[in-house]
Amino acid sequence: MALPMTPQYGQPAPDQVYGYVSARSRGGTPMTRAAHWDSAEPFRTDPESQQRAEDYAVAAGLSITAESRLGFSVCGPPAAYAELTGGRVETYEALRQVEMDHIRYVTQLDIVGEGQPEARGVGEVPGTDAIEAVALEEPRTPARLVPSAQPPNVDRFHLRLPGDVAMLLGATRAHARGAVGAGVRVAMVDTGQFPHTYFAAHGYQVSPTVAVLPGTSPVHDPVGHGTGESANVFAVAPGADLHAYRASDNSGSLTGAFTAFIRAKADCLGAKTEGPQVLTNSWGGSRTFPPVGPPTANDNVFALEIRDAVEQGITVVFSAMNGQFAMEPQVPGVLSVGGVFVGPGLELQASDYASGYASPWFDGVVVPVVSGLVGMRPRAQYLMLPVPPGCALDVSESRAQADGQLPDTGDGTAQDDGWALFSGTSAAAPQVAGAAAVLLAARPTLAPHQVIKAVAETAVDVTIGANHPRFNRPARIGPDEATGAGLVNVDAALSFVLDQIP
Amino acid sequence: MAAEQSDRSGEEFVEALVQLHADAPAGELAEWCAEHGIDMTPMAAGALLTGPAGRFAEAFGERPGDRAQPQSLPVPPALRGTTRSVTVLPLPALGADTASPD
Repeated sequence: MALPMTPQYGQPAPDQVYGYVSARSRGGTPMTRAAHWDSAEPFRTDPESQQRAEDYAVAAGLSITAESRLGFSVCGPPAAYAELTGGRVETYEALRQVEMDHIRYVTQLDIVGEGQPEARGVGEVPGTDAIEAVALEEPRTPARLVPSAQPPNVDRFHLRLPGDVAMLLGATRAHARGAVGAGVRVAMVDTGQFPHTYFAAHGYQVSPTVAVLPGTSPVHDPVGHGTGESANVFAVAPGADLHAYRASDNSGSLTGAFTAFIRAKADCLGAKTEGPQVLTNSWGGSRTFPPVGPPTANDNVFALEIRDAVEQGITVVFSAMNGQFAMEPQVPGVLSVGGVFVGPGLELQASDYASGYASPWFDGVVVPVVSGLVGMRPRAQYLMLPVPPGCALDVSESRAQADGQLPDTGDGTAQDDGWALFSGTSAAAPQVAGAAAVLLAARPTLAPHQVIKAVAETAVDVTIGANHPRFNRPARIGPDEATGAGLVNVDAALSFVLDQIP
Repeated sequence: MAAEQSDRSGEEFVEALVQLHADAPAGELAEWCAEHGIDMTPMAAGALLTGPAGRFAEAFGERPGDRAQPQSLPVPPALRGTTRSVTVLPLPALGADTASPD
């Protein structure tokens, strides 16, 4: 796979940008255009020009941090550079040789806009002869490394994205037919979305993340859960437009999940005229099972909010959870997603990591409706997923787990390599959300219940194994509580939609 | 130069569901929340209140807990005509094996 040389993620520039202002030179040639380096003397400035240049910089909002005979260094917010140059500061990634002879992407800054030079990292200041150029500081030591776009090789059996997941879910054949979910908005409420090189290298469309909690960054994901699981959307629907909603606080807890859901729902409805919408959620409240009574009053309120989203045409996906019993996937009209494990010999069995049951609260509802790809207990380390280097999942999945049973050696990746092996119904939900996106791109007027019908009618029946021991529902011939209708087959669902739904 | 836009340490964020009396308008609740620095989002049924834990403590006279369990907050006298209950929501869990939220 060829890596793009200078991908842009559209992430915001830092609050403080450091740079250098080249004041008017005696020789009349800006330092940025120097062709001879035998003497710096022609590039010296005079005190009057230096002062005027500094006055311009300060008036624009920059602070002078050091002075020399040639110019001075400055720092300030991107807006101050915009004020000075008339351009704007943008970020891009560049492949650089960094520590230990590794080649990695390193974040760079550039001043772009009308009248700005093509050369990277420099800008011009129109309207004054006191300043010949502005140069932005380039990271001498990598200030921010982005991880490899290629997953590491590990010994244990696992699936790689996008290829393995796309193939096993029947998406590869749909892609060959040109069905990639193009233009369908897939909103995802989770822990955040880190701009991993994996997404840029594959050319996936990731819109800027909405961080709903005050004081949280839209480019951070402390856990890595949202970043990793979102890759499942693209494995099935590489043409989808991902809109991530960060619901986690700075410690990674989902303290804003309900807020983020309401916000994502509102945004989906606001963009309804632009195309179909999918809202996927890999989380849920954990309740006692079997429940001692009906849903709580609060569960009722949020269930109605979810139901209202479905009634307004949004395909809402929730993970069935991993041994937990949650209200959200049970809401009528929700596309709940469980787990099927496909082994090295391509044998299918119900994942014993996934929840599944007949809803005790909502008549006729079975969770899950269908299933995606999920690993087996104890840790479901099954899919190699991109995560922020050193995040909670990068560290925890790489560690051995001594739980009194068989020792587990960890996922075989490093703690800070930006890759981790995990899955859960958290992975299955965005896979099926991707399937919904493929169908909706082909038939934008599909209602949520038609999407559900298509994926359920065409799923591959799974007849072996049982789901999580807490529920212990066996897989049988036909729909069951272990895997629902079975493993989603995107190509078959697409044919169903094209052939049977006008 | 490439300092990232980073997380800032902040006060605990609280989400609470409000159940209104039948046919009660949400306008009064919205005004009261605005006065107390709490965000209110109308929902299909009731409303979602969000904001820092300190604001909730000041407004309701009781500090929200750690969100391990649902927690009812006392309805302030000014809201008794419209509001039936205010409940701090417990934290949801992620659908994957993680070291943090669940």
